[in-house]
Amino acid sequence: MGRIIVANRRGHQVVEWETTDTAEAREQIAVAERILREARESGCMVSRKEGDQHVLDRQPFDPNIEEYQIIAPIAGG
Amino acid sequence: MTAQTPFAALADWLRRRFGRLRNASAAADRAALDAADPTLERPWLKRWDHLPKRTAGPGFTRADYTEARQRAREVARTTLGEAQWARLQRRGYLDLPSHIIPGLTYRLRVGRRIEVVCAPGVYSPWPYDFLCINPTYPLPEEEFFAHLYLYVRDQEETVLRVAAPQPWDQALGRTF
Repeated sequence: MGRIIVANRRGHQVVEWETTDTAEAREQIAVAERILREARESGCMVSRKEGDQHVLDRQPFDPNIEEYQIIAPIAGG
Repeated sequence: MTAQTPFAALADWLRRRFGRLRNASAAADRAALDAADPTLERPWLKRWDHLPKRTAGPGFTRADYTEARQRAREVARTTLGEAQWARLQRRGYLDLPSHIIPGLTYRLRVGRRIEVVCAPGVYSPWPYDFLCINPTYPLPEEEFFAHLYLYVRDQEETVLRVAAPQPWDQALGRTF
């Protein structure tokens, strides 16, 4: 199972997907991919879990990644 | 008005054509995501400029703030990893050396401006020692601390581009 941590003012919310080959899993994966695309197109960064920490990730969505996180855009001032 | 060359006209037409397709695709994605989970808040879709500083918006109760901060703490710990999390708890800050400016260190503290620390003989590119960097939407302090840590460690060029140098330390305005 994979998940995206969507950081927001609620602390965070989680979007999960199964990696089994079922219609439901494919739909969950499509939703997860759309969320990452939408966030990136809106200026957010994305990180992925590597070992016991996160690193910024510029690669296309991979459903086999255990955990992604959407990182807020930043601005000065 | 200057006449366009055939190549420029074609490029212009392609830009307009594919721009419309991209916008239509983004709108379709947005509608599909709204339908898939109406409770998921995607803060990048909204404007937050109107909010008072250090607030999460109207309707947020004291209990909501408490819960948000607790959840943020869990994610910050996951993001930083156990070693850095423990160091942060022990010291109250994390130091990250610059990859671009040798001898310069960013001192990150939860909910505060970044402090720039220079080794003797190293000159900072900024006129002041504190860098004000906020998220573009409201986030709990610890959650944004972890985001800022990733930017400084993995994408310092963005920090150099957006940082607003300030002469004094202060709490960040877009976190709570």
